[in-house]
Amino acid sequence: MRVGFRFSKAEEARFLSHLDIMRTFERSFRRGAIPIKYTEGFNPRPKLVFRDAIPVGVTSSGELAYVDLEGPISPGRVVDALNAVLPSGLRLHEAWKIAAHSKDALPAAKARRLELRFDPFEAGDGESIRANAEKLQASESVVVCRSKGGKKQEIDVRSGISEVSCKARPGGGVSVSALLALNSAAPKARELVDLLLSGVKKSQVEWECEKLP
Amino acid sequence: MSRFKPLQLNRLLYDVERPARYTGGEWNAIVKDFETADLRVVLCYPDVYEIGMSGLGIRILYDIVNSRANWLCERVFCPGVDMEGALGESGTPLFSLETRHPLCDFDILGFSLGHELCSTNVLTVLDLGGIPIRSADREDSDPLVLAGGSSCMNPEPMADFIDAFLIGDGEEAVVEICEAWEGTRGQTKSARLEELGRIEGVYVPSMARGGGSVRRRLVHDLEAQPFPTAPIVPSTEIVHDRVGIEIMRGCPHACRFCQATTCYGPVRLRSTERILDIADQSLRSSGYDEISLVSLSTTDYPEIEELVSVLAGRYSDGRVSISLPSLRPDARWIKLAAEVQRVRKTGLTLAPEAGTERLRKAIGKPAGTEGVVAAAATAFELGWRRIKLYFMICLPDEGDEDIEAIGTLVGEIASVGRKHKGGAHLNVSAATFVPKPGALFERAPQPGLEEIERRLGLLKRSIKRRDAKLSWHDPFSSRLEAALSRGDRRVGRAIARAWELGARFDSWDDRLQPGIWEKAFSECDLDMSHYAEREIPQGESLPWGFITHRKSSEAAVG
Repeated sequence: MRVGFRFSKAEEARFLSHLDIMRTFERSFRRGAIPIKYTEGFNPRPKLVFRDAIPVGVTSSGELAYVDLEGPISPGRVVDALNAVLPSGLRLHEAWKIAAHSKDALPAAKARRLELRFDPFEAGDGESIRANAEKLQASESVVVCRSKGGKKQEIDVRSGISEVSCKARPGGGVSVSALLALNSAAPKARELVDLLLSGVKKSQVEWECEKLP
Repeated sequence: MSRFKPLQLNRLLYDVERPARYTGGEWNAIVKDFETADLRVVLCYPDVYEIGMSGLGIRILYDIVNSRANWLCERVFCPGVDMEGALGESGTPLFSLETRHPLCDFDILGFSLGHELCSTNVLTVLDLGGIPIRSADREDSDPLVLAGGSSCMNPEPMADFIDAFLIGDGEEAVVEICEAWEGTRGQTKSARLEELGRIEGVYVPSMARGGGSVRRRLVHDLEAQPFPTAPIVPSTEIVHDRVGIEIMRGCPHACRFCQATTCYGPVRLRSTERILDIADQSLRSSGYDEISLVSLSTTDYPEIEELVSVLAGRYSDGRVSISLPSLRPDARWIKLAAEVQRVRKTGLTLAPEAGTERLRKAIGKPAGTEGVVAAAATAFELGWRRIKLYFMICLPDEGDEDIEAIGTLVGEIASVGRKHKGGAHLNVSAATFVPKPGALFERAPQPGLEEIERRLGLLKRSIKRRDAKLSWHDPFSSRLEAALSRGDRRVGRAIARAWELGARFDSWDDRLQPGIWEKAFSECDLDMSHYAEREIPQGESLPWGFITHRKSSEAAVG
């Protein structure tokens, strides 16, 4: 039976990669004694699918995934069993049955919203970050450099940014909320940070990134 | 010093490779209250997390120390070069994984020294942890710097940096050391070290050796020793990512290049019942899908077929695979392979070591060539396609024809493999002979660098590309290992100098910097050839000669 679930990746798990999280879930299902179905063939893989790629360094409260389980199990039991055995930072919030052979197992994501919180180092940093954010919104093209297969490529990611807005934070910090498309034409979390911190002493600024549901 | 706020640590982690090396939070990690513990211990395998967490030594001791309610034991590993830079620049001390306390806040820092080429990493960990790298510079308030592991069979090169070595088995001695350290709180360090020096197996370099010798510590009943049943499950990938169970300690064979006969003997076993129990509890607790039966020669575990048969029966549908490293290619093995094939196969390793029967006999590994080929043939018949073959070159009494014979043997095995559907994938690993303390060949010479390179070239040419994939270590790496393995106390100066000049992670071929080591040895007026290349005459005393080993006694079977 197919079960969809929503989980969060909190502070302690911030730096786990997508593969780390997949492996951790696979083992957690075993620890929780909830048998997962495996694919047939020479190298059986667990039938566990994550809707989105999960980036390193970003926390999130709304990650979606589904898993095919052996035998009937109540979604509530899945939540309890898993939460008892997941390492700190990962937690299931809800689970639900997905009809067999349903075309779209999980609600499709339309975009990705990232919130970045900066605690500046020097007095003018907050202003610089705001100015960078406004410039991003106003620009027609934003170029980042990526390496693919050893070669460096320049990609214009402006089309992947639908919205960038700023808010002041208590203590002189800045919060930037960005709505990004879900394709390679959108900036990655780290690329966005670098763009916003341009002209600022990067190594001294405290910042964190959260993916909003 | 206070704990770090997660935010301060984050800033460092965004820019380093594999930040999950430093974040802890793993399932089954034991986190206690730092403030209320009566004794605080931190254990370190001096390499990166993914290598350090792959060994058993730290895991066993971690469990033992933590089993005392009022003792605390945490872990730390050597930070990558990028993290070392980030820690240094930000003035952040190296911290433990469980509660993120700086290493200098602990009572005991214990190193597991499994490889001589990790020596410079030990200095990195000490320095970044806020502890003076030399014992002589430490105050009474600095943690006790302890070391154990196979490299301690010759402790002399590290003697400047380690306050006390534990030579031999750690399970009982670690408790005695912790009790002694806890019990002498408030006394001067030298008084406390004197107390430690009375424990069997403990060597304190700064003190004169009473009786002139140190006896290697042995646990007689392996069955009675604790073994973890709730292994820590790293959240990120490590090299050996599975449940490792030590089924046997010591090795019944006497391969002349190997330290194990003297240094890990006599053979001691865990019972089948105990192993099955550990396996069951460990798999349930961890969620791992692979078990590895760890020993130096698995086919020599008396009840190996029964053990594997039961494991295979229990787990064949639960998708748990069984890994059996260290199999000897003989008739016994063939029976065993039939059992193991019932579960998902992992790779198979055979270690013929030498190319000719003659040389195999000379080094104490008497496997006939037909036996090796037959074993491989059986493996192919039973469905294995991936086989790893271990060979060693630069052995004493070796001639070019022995090296060429490796190529012939590999070719024979490859052609048998080709007869099977899917063909064979052979991975040949060529190690260079290193004379190790405690091995029967401990006095034998290693050829000079050019000669090692010549023989390696000969091996490369004799193995035709289509037969197998050949892997080898940088010859300089083996030379350095020999120099450090057979070094005396003066070599410590070269280690410190190399570290100052930037030597790090010397066991990784792509990080090893021969130029730095040549310079370090030369600045200290020491000659690497003296340590690596000499045939040491029988009458000459050895730097590690003060360590005594008991004669073999009966193996204790649970």
